[in-house]
Amino acid sequence: MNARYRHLINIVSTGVLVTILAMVGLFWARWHLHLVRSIVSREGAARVQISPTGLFPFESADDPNLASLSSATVELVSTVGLFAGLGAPQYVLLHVPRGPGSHVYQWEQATNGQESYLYFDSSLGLMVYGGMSDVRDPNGTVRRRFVTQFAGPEGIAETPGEDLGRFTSPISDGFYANNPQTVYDESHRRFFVIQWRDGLVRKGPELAEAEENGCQPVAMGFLQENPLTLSVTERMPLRRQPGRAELYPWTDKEAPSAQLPRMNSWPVLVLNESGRIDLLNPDTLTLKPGVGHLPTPPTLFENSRPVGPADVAAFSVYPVTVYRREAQKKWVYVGSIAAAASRDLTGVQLTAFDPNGKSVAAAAMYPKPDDVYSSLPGASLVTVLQYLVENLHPPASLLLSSLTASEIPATFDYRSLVLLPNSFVAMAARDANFGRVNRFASSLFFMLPAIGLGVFLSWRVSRDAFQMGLSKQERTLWTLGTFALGLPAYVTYRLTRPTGALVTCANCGLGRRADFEKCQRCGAPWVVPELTSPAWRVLGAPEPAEENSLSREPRADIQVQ
Amino acid sequence: MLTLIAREIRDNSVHFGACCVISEIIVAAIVCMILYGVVGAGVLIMYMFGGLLFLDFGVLGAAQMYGDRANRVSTLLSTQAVTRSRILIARVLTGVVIILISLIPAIIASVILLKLRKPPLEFYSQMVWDISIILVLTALACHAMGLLVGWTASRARLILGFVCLIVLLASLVVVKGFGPSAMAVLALLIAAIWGRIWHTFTSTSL
Repeated sequence: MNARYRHLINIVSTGVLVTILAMVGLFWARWHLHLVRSIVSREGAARVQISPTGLFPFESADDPNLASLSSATVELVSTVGLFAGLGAPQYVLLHVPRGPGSHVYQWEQATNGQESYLYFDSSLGLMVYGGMSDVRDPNGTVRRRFVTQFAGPEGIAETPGEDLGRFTSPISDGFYANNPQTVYDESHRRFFVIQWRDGLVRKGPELAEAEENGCQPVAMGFLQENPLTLSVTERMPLRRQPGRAELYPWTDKEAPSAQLPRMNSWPVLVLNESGRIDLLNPDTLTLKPGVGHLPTPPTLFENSRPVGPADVAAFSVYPVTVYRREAQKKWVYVGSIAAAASRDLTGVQLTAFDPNGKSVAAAAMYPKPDDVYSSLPGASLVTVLQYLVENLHPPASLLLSSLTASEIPATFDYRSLVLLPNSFVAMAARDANFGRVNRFASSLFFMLPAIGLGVFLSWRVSRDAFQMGLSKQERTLWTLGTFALGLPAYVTYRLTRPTGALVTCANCGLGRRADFEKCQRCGAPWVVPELTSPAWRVLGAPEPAEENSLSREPRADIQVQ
Repeated sequence: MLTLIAREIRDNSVHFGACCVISEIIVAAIVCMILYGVVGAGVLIMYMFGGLLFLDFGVLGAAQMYGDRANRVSTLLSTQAVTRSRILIARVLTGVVIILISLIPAIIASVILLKLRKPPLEFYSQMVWDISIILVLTALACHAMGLLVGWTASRARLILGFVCLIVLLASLVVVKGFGPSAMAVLALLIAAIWGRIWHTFTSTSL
């Protein structure tokens, strides 16, 4: 391997090493600044409350028997969100049974060691249920035994088979998994209900294309992301009765637990990619579109467009039902309460939707993001430091963050080394107040310190490379590379640049490389003493070989011309 | 090459033995956790000795290079029919062997015990696979970082550099998790460190 390739390997490996280590260091600097901001601005958990929720038509503030109004509270614990968003905790949260990204919908171990589980086996393309079940023998007797059942789009059996069909990318919710289990599969574009106890699979009608009705389900059941960060609690209105304890107004039963709807009668909400929330009819398996929408949380820069699940750091949607004793004599969906946290966990919006998807009450968190970034004590300092740290990133990284600002999921920032979707640059690139060109220009404005640093470092590299005698092509590559990659490229150059002391050029007087034939500045070659014989001669002296005398006395006959 | 590897193992037999002992302790902790349900203490022991094991991989790498620099082993060997590239490959292979000997038993024990005790759920296999790969890659990165910082004559630089790099490496795993992106970043990091060491080690004058 020649020296050129060796040098190239050295530059590439040093560059990769320095870049990774620098990015990890900068990541932790950003992360700690986010943490400090959370602590400074919240001093604990932040709460938003709406009361009354406006979801109960019989709730009236004038009612003398009303003990307390209905309310909905959302709690944001942004410090937990920062920890939970890191890659390692996120991996565990996503993969543990019943986790938001897990295909293990149920896994329980009874005290007697008996287990029951329900999961999706991607190799079979089937839902698998294992647990105790009442099974009828051929002789007619019913026995309780452990069974394993497999369910596909076409049916249920105790052994897997092609006749059951295949699910490819099912969406289900572990909370509803017991019986019946509702599943949506994108490849079939329809909902299924798996009734494990009855051994039946019901198919819903095929949904229209997503372009036609905007229906692109991404989650169903309990709609929540990062529940450790954002949690919603709801309180029903309470009515006072003389001589009795406080009771819920729509029932005369005393035990509150008996007033909760049965699991299988809870409304199944479906969240679409656009952020729209639909309600699934459990009988017909059709959707009632637009019963709500993910609220748009306030952000530092205007973000007026409706947000989808990928645009918020955390969300939680809670369906509300009441028991209509007089009319339908069943639990009826009366609306939902939805909350969402902004990408940088500085803003929260809480909204209550009626059954038709109309917003009936809303509240945003205080302090607002503007205050969190500027007005609160210490906030300005954190903002300045955050801005400086972000601008230590390579300009290429910031440019990529700007160009992909709307495409990268919000939570990606908590584990991303290169892209910064929650940086000032990316926030400016998402600003809905401006058009596309102005957004990009605004984003570039926020990049100016990084660009300035890139220019300064590339100038230094270019100057040093010229002094060290790098070729014009090498100098150009290093200059452009340092401008695009910033600090890591500069450190890489310093670690891999040619070393060695410069000597003074006899021609130009500046430093020149000792291992080059010509001066890298003036092109002058080395001054080599000529090997011509001198003009002077020693005459009259005998050749030493001919003189055998060892006499040390000076000789008078030698003349020098 | 085998002679060189054997010599490396002999020279660093203390680390080799320590890795094996720590690995056995971790296996015992896993057995206690899964078979006897000793979760709290088991997890504590696993984390503690796991950290120690990874630290030892790094110390092994640093000892290999620092000992060479101090005792001029490679300079002496270069007078024989051995190149510096081969010496470096032998060191890396020694590290790989020790890492595999230390980690594979713990991984196999976990897999067997999980298969025996837990239902055949798919997520286990995926998680065990992901985490095992990340553990091996992290161990290799620790060893490679030891090799990188070990090639110095300054003890202060060695200790400071080692601590900084190990902290950054551990935090890299925390940031990226155990998924494919973490594997890609770790693989890239290991390749980069090996490239850098190779250049530094083979271009050092006798």
